[in-house]
Amino acid sequence: MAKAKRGTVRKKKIKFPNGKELEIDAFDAEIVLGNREELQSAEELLEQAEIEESAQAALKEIDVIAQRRPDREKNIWYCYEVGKILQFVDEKGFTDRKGLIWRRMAYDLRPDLFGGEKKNAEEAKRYPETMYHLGKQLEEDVGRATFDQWYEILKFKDIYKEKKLLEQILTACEKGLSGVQLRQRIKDLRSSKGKNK
Amino acid sequence: MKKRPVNLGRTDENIADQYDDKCEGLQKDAGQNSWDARLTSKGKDWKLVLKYHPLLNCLTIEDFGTCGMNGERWQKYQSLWDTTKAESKDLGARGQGKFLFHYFSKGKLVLTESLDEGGVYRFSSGTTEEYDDEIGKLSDFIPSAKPLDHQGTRIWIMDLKPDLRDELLDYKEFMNHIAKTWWEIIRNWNATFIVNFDGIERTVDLPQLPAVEKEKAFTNEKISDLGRIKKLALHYCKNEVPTQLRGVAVQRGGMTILRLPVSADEAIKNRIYGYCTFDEDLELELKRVEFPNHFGFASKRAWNHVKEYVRRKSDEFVQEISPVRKREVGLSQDLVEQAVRIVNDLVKEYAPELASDATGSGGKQPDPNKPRPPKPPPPPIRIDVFRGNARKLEYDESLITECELINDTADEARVLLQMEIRNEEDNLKFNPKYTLQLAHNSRKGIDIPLVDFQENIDKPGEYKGTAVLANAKGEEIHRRSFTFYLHEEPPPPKGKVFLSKIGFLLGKGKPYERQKQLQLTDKGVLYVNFDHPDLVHVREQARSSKARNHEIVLYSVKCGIDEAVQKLLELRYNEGQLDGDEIREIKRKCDAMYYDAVLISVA
Repeated sequence: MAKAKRGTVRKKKIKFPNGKELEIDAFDAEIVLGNREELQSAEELLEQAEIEESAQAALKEIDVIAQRRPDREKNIWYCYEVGKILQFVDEKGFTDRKGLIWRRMAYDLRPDLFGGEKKNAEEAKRYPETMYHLGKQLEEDVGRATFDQWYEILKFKDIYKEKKLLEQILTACEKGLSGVQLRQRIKDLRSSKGKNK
Repeated sequence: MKKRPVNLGRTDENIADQYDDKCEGLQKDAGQNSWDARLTSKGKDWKLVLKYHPLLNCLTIEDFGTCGMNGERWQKYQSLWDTTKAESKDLGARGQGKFLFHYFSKGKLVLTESLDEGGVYRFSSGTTEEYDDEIGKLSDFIPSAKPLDHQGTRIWIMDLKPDLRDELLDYKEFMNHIAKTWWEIIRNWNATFIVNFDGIERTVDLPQLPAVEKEKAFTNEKISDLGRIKKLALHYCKNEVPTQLRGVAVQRGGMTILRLPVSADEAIKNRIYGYCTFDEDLELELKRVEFPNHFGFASKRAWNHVKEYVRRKSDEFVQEISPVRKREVGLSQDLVEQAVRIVNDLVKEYAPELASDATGSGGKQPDPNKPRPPKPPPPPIRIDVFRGNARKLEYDESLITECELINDTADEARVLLQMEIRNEEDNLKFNPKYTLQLAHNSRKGIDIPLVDFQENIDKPGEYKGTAVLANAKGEEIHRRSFTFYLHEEPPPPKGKVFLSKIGFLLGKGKPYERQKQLQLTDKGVLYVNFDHPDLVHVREQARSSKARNHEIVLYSVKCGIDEAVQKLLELRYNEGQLDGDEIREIKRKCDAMYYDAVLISVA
């Protein structure tokens, strides 16, 4: 039997036969009556409800931090603190849907907590994704690069897991490398280790 | 091929989830393991002692008059999901019940001692993931305890979880569970169950039942080619029967698997109890379809035939007691399966005009300029209900056809009902005929035999059931049909459907917070308010995750019916036909849909 569609809650526009439209917060899980997968759909619905509850709880905690840090735009310590909270996706076993959770939090619910409104959901997801990876770093490393620098570093999947490489990259950051140059430097360092992607 | 790694760390929780009442499950599994191991077939000197040790916070389950575990049995005991057991005559089916014991322990630790016929003593300590039966000794865990000194087995469930311990130590309730499950072996073979949870040994007695006013028994009844019903006994008492003993106990190997409720008025139903036992062949067939937790059966051929037999006989019995019958209102195991043949089927049956203005794939939108022709009134003598139990059947399942006729006239009528089932190649599978007398202003249910399908005889694919009602002259007066699919996925609903799917939304703090659902969207999606207190309540009340999922689906179906009724009201209003009579008619349809979808007869 096919597995029920995995998702979260998201904003959706629905239309009624009279032409009226309404924006709602709808679960991705839907019950298609008669397809014999109703119970799996209900199970998935409850999982999505649990995710939504966790996301809402995380937003409350982030809101407290945000109030403490009015200068939060690209503030590395704000992002680090929020990143710690975002680890709930791992703790609660939602890692495989973190993209959907970031979308819900940063696009649907509170874009103001995640770098402001973005043109589309894909773009909005990147900010919390960076925060989440930043939350995994050692506190002493965090201040060695700016938000933009970390943003570049963390685009490279799992790069921070290689301690020696990360050390070299952070040293480059401390020397003021950023943007395209930093990206190129990371690529060079990786390829010199034979791990060019 | 590599051996697949298995994570058994949470197996006990998954298994425990199958039990609505864990304590009831515990006594059932303990009794079943022990009765399976009895030394004689009639259980001479058999005894099971369940004792709570407050200083150790542990429960022991010790049996006497049993064979104990020799090497082979010991090995099987340590295994999980040993499916060969389902083919034996023992009570146990898959060897998973003992994992419930681990669930009761905070550290999942269970100690087992056994002394076999040759005087060999065995000891093991283990959790769900691992066990040791080589190094450890009982005294390593409980220095003050003496090893088992008689043939049999003793199980120690260590360091009980506080919540389960408190529930368990309600000894009266626990003894009730034992009495209602094991009454047959207590009555027939003097099987002894002793419960000692507070330092006092109490023997479980037979449940007290009121005096019988009327009784009926059916013996040695053949059930298709599956075996025989040894005895079906039905008792109507002078006073009410205790709640947990009402209905017909379905017995297997001396254990009550479940109790089938009887369809009758509350006052009558509450005074009926009975039981049903089987010969070896039918017991084995039932064992194959029994749920691993021993609390029910899958909706497969053997169970369908037995259930149908018991239903018919208990219906006849009720009829003898009281001519007024009422269908049982309650939640059945396969309720969801039945309910999810859904709002669309119900709408099609009760309000077909609604389906036409919905948006199924390929559905034709009505022409708003073309006035709808008035619907002809239903014939006064008609087939009111005609449907199968499932839209998809497998080879080991049975088609159960529900059929009810109505005579709305003031005269008695003689009618001929002809039914047939054909596959898509027009091959005839089944065609019973009935000549019937319908009393004036009455409804009559027809007992249509179950239809089985065999893999080497019946082709997979679409089948159609048709019922034709004719008058005494042989003139057709009404016809109904339904379609189902054998060993093949039914196609998605096409053409006219009312609902395509049900979605869920978060309504808290929104203008529609107090609505249970929004109106149907242009794509036929019904959005149900997930935060509505009614749905929250439904979720909270469910005792297991499985039950909770069922309840959510049911709730969704109810919302679908509400929406259908709303649509019907709008439609009639737009047609200028909404008067008092029509409102009452719509209410009747609403009640009928609820009745069929939600309050389904369990019989």
